[in-house]
Amino acid sequence: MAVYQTVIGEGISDLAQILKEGKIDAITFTSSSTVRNLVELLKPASLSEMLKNITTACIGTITAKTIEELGGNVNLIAKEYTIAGLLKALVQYFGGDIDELE
Amino acid sequence: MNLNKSKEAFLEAKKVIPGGVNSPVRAFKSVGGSPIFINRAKGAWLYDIDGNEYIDYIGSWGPMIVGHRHPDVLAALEEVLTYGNGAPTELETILAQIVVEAVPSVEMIRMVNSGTEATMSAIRLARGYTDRDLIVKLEGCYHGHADYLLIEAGSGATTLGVPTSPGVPKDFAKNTISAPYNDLETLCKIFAERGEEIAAVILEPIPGNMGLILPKEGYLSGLRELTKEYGTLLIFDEVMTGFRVAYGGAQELYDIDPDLTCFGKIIGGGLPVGAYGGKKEIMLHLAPEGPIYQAGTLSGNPLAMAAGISTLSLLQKPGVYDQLWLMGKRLEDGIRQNLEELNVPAFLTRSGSMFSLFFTDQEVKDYKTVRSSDTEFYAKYFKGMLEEGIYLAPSQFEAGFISLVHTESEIDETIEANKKVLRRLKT
Repeated sequence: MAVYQTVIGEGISDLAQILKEGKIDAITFTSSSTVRNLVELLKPASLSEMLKNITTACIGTITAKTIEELGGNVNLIAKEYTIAGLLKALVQYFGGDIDELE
Repeated sequence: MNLNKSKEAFLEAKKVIPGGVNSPVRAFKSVGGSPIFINRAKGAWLYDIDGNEYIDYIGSWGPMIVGHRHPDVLAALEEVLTYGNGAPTELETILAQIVVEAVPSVEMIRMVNSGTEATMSAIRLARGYTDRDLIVKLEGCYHGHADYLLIEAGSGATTLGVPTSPGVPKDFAKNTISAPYNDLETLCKIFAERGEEIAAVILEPIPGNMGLILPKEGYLSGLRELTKEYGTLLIFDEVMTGFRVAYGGAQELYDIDPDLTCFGKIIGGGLPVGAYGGKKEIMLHLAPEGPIYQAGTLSGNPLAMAAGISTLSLLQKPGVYDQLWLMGKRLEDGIRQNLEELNVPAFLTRSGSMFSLFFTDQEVKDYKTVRSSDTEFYAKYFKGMLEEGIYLAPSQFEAGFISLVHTESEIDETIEANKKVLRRLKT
């Protein structure tokens, strides 16, 4: 039986540090729970502080709303609310060629 | 539209089943006519025994959020047919883990067989835990058909105009206080007088059983504070809204931490399931761990668990709730445009993929304003939509549900039908 369970990731204790050092260009969110889980992982640091200089890409408007409610900034929302749509939006945002994705 | 076979089937059913149905609202009584009988469903579509097809907005009254006969759900059901019944299975733990992971206020959960059983059991637990008898329920909220909850109830009770059903002893009803929804002031007065005797307040945080009503800003958080102050448990009946308005239900959407939550519908993926859960400290009072008794022959049966696990698994995939909201908004925008264009007085409510269209010129915010709706107009609208192949709830006082497989094409077809029917009714 296909059991799919979203759980908070482990083994990224230095995530806040990596974000602070500006080593990450963009971060994607595929559901509201991915946003909440990140907030949990980054505590006590705030989402707004951590995402300050990072491109934030969301799969859809509800996920974007959750980021904003939790104090984060949203740079782009996918046109089609799927992983493929998110990837396309991200490539376009950075001026890439979406045909190469196919 | 030919409905001859359905009409015949209904006459046959009426000979052996009271009213021909096993749940009153299905009988089309409040809209007139005879119910359609179904023998096939797939995705967003229903097919009746006369060969008519419909875009389905009832979704089995809420559970079918991934659409009818999703291949993953069917495969899961087939896989567990060999399990047998009556001893613990690992499936029960998996479904419990998924719900606990999804809803932070739920630390432990007990499976039952229906939403009615869930609310009954949650109230027994609240009464046993607090050692108090009184409960508060809100007018128009429906929590199944337990005696002490059929007081000013919604759903079939509203439709049929039976605020308190015959057969409910006055002695049972005396322990239920009924108060208006969205009115914190009245509740504060009730609590000032009897707060220390009240075991629990039970409500649908976003009521769907009197049609869909949205909570006013600050109402749910105010209710949380008030109940906490008096040591009263707050029970959210999320049978309809759980995993529907957001993955974590209405409590995720409004950021509320209730003591107990009741589930049903979606967590059973279309099979009969209910569940209630909450704080570990409270749940541990249940038998066999604690003294408060509750049991069930088929509770946690493998078929229902499998359908629930596969449905909730599908709901965790990327973008699912964004998609549901998107289709909900598309439908809302289209209908609003029609209403404006045709100058039809109506009040539309929506929370994600759940919606209601009330034919009234008032703002709908509680049971009183809900009842200002023109039910005769709704009956005509319902029949018109059915003829156009759109299956809505046969009552003004129910919500509509969009599934993950309602695509732009189905939504647009519905908006077109809405326009056509409203235009016809206006002339």
